[in-house]
Amino acid sequence: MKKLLGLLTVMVLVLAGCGSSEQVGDGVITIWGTPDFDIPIFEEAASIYQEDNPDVQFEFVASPDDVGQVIHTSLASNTVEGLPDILSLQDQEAQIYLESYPDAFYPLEDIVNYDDFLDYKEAICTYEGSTYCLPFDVGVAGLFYRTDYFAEAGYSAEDLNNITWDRYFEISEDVYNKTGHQAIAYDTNGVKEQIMLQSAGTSYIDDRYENLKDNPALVETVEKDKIIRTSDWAYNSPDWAATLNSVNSGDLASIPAGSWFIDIIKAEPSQSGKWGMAPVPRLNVEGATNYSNDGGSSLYVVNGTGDEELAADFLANGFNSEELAKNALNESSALLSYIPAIEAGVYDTADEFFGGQHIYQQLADWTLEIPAVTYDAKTTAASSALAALTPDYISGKITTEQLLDQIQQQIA
Amino acid sequence: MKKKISAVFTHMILIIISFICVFPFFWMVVGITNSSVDITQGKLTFGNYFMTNLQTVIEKVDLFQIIFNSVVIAFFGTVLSLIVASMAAYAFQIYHNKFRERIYNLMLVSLMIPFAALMIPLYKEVVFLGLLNTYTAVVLQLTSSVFLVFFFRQSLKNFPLELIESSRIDGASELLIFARIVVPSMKATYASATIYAFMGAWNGYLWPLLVIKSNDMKTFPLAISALSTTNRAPDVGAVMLLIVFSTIPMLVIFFVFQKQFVQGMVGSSK
Repeated sequence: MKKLLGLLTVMVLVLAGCGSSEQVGDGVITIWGTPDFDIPIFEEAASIYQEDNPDVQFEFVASPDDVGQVIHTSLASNTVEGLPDILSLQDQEAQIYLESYPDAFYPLEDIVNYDDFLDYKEAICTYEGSTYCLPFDVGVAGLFYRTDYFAEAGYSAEDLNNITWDRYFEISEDVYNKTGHQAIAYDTNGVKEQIMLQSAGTSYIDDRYENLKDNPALVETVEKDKIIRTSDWAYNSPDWAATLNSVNSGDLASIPAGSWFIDIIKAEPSQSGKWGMAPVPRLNVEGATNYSNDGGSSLYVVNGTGDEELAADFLANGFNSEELAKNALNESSALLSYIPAIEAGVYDTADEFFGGQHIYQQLADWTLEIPAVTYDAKTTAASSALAALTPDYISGKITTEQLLDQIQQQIA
Repeated sequence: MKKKISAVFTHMILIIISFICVFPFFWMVVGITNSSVDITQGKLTFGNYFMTNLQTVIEKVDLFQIIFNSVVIAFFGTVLSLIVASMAAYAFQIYHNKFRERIYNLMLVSLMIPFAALMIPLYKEVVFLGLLNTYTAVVLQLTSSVFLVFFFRQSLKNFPLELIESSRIDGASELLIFARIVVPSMKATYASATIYAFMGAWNGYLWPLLVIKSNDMKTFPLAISALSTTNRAPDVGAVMLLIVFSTIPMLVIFFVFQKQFVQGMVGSSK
């Protein structure tokens, strides 16, 4: 029996010895990011920073699938131990974190020169007078389409330039009737509301309107959504994998999406030369533009790790490089929000996959035009409420006005 | 004739159900030989992308480190939880105390609390103990399995008390009785508990996700999740291959203990 006790003791000792614990304030900047996309860019920014600060060490960690769960658990437990010094947050989620944990992030407005970064990105991470992020990649939206299918139906690039959603629907229907290829892969998680709303410089919540139903852009967005969801020419995608499949298999004729979607399109090399890009369609309301955003992220310094000043200094000085922006495009197909790089034309290259079109320069130019909007916790709530009420709205059980009233009640 | 029809009917249903059960495995195995695009397009025949997928996995994932981490956590998690649970069950069943049933019922009630509600207090505890990013944090959480205590106690209910009493008369110590008399007679229970505990430890996701922070501490589920998280289209072929790697040990454990497992199932219903 002593053996068993002995075995137990040994196990406990072995386990205790196996762990390696992270030091707080150790002078090593730990950063979380996605391995394919963020980390190659972070690594290069780190090497730029190390030229002037050779003593600073970095550790890059692949952020987990449910990074939000980890961040929420840590911050709700009132501890930053276990969090990195720098993490990247999706733009549409940023305000939720800033509102829920006001002291959790280190303010950067005195350190980072925000004149060098896109205005709309700065707005996203400003909360109660402080700005907390280094603007990172943008998800500037474009309308991606198959030039061969559109040519077959008799449409050229010119026909898609700066059009309205109504016109886009007409063309899509025509393309579908002539070629059999559908447009817009939509699923239950909302069609392209985000793209439509931001292109008109608004969001679900807009201070200019007391009620949701008073916001003309929102009204038009949900109505357009209904048209898409009830039309044959639009593809009803069961999930994300099916969306990817519809693009890569050549079924889909066109899809409006953020610039990060280019990488997905390019995953099927046999379609090289068959794609084109146009600005996203616009709404019919006042202030409507053909420029919008879908996705994108920014970098935040976690407050209280002991290394926050060092980390902030790195963000302020490691990312203002045209070279970095250029390599970010080549390595990760990422468009950074660093204005001098956009103006210097680092993105000005012909893309063979898109028939020699200078897509990245076009996207970069569009980023300068994207209207600034703020997202907050209510935006997310409204988006979920809309998704939940959509079936009733599509079936005609509730009108547009009732739909928006019900959403408003739910988020109040 | 009637018998024949009902046999055909039974087989039809069984074939459909087994197809539903086996298909994901089949798809997974086919998937490791296909490219990501082929998989999302639903290709169901073997392709020639296996080496490419293997190369991607080896490039992006430190396979040996992950196997080591998973094995350490699953081994200690399984062994410790079996020891703790079987000893606790033995104590609950054999020793008399007027609070015994109340404490036991309280423990059973705790089965109803969802993990999401325990997460934050547990996390605070681990931070307080300085165990963040250690194997210990993951293993400790596994060792306190109320279900396993319940499971062992159920199978101890039919254990002949006379055996224990006669051993006591012969002068055996309590620990000796447990180790030499009780444990050997419960081999089947231990086997099925091993499968249960191992699966839990090997497949654990949420808790390891919260307490493991660095790349070199990650287990299979975390590595799979990291590989499928990307701003690009995820490389489904490589993800499938990593899933296959993580499934193999579970299959091995299951087949090794299967005989006892089936016996245990039969035994518990006797």
